[in-house]
Amino acid sequence: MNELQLQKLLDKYLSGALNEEERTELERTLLISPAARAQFWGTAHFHAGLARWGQESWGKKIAEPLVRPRLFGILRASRQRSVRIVALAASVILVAGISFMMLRQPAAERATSGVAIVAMTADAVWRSGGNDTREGQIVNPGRFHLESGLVQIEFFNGTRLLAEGPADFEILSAGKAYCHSGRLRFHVPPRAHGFTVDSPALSVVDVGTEFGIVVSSGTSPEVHVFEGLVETRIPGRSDPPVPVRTGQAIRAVANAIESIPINLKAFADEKEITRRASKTARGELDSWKSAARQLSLDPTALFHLNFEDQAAWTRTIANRANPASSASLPANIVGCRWSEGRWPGKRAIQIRSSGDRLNIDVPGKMNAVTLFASLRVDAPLVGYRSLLSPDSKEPGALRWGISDQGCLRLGIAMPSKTAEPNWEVVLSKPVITSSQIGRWISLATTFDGKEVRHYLDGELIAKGWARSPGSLIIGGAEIGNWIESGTRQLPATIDEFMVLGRALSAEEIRAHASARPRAGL
Amino acid sequence: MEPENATDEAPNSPTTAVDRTAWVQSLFIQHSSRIRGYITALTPSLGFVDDVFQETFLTVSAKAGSYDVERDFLPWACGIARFKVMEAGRRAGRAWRPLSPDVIEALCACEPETAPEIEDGLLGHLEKCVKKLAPQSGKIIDMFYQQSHKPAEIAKHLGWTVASVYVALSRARTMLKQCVETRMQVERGSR
Repeated sequence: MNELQLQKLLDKYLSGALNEEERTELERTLLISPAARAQFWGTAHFHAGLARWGQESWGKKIAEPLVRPRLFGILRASRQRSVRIVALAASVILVAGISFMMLRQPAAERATSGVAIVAMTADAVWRSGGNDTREGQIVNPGRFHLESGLVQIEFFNGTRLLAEGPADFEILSAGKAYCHSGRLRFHVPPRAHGFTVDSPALSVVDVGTEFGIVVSSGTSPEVHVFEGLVETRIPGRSDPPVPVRTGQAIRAVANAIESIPINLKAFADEKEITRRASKTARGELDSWKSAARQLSLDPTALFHLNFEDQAAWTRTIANRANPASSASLPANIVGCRWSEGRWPGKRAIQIRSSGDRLNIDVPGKMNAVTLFASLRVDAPLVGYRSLLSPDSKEPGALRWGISDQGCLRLGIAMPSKTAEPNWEVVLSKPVITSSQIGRWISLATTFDGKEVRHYLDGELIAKGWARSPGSLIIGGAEIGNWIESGTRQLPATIDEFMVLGRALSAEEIRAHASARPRAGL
Repeated sequence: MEPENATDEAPNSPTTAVDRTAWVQSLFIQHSSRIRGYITALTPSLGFVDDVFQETFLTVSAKAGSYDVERDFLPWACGIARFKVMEAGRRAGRAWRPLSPDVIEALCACEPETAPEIEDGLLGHLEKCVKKLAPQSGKIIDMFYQQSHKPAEIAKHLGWTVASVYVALSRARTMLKQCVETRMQVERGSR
């Protein structure tokens, strides 16, 4: 087969147009010919580049204000990405009163290409106004002022930095740090050899080891090697580096390096930070439980899943809202698995496959509403993903979700002359981005009949005026999925979900969101 | 993804299963453009790429504990992506079929490196080259690559035969490739 014939088959393959005979021919050629395989990748990479261009340029299009009278060309009734959004956008043609107001630049947006990640913290207090240093945060080079507590930062090359407050240090690059003051412990795996730690009076180059460095004003800087080998030298001097091996320690005194006894207890280790983090987590869980109980008892609480006190085998989840109310219907689990929530021991439910969802029923009508969820997004979001989708499309029905661009979105069904309501929509700007993955966050949206407010981790991120059809309804609904669609599931772990019949104030939202989430799966 | 037991971790790995998962996820995000490109090449139906990509991420997260920090991340993640493509192909039934496992294996043994900066450059050139296409070709590229319409749907919308959509798509791709290559050559020459 010549190059042109093969190109024709590859083009058909990429368009999904191969017939059986052509498929056999293409497969046979690819198996026997290295040149054909190279041609496959040349063509496929270009096709993948086009697909990426398509996705990004489509993203830019839909990120434009939705008030344009007609957004897109054609509609399609199948399941794919574009149409999920087109269908939504088309149902939102009447979108009066949309306004965006970004009150803070989302930290997540800034840090998608960092050099390390904040892996664990224990009682960490940072000097205010510094870099975002919550657990799970990807960090870029920058300076960190830890006032007290412990923090472990893990570089992408596998190096681990354990800082004990007070400490003032800088991450200079993927393979270099600077200690202005404080105690830092480093573990450098073989693939990261050469990792360098500088300080005002001492420079350390790792040759495969675990070591600690301590710098404080008034005393000489010290290096203690727990395992392996490091090379130390005085900055600015041309003396050969001084090797320091397992069980040895040195300090820099008056431009010279001298041996001192090693102090194994001078540096906190990973066991210590884990122990302290667990203790902190237990305290946080207890205070969250008490705050959650109070909210369940709020007279306007309509629905509150805290996922606590449930047997592992149960397929219904108790609705803790306002137990005196006879309308407190439980939620039914469809497909989801039980998992762990924000803290060890906290129960949660995991939505993963396209069938997973929680079925709920929130009867009655409201004049105002608060929707609150604590969740961890477990995978990149593609297309609109549903937090709450009612079965009803009657005026007043509320649709809550995350748009293709990672914007928090509330839709309120308004009367229309067709079967599909006009949706009054208020979006935030993109806040659920790839760097939020694996991190516990809280999302809240309130609507007082006039204004919609969106919150992330207790902070107001957007607000906009919206019309109300009078009363708001949820009724039968799904959490984390949407019955009308194949792939609208929100790939997330949810450990709290709440609906109240009033708009909580910013202070109330902040107070409930302050239960500090931890990172990771 | 149930949390794993931290005490089972090897001494040289990140401290706990929780840390390692977060770390492996951050590696995935770093390399997401390459992994997505890889999945796109092996999934001959663009509408399914998102789902395979998401499934791959979830499996990579779940298997973070078995990732050996001494190994390169990309081949490991692409190995998982490959299985996810085949799994999705089995589920898709008649909707689309991936190439046979033997062929995918042979292809993956020789996938060349594509430097990220070339990919980013490619996107900039594509933007300009698509604008130069004849209106109908541009529309077909938009519908196929931006809106993930199948050729049959494009044909119905334009009132064409499906075969003529295939031909038009193929021609548009060829013209775009030539345009991008020319622009890249000019760019290299001017440096």
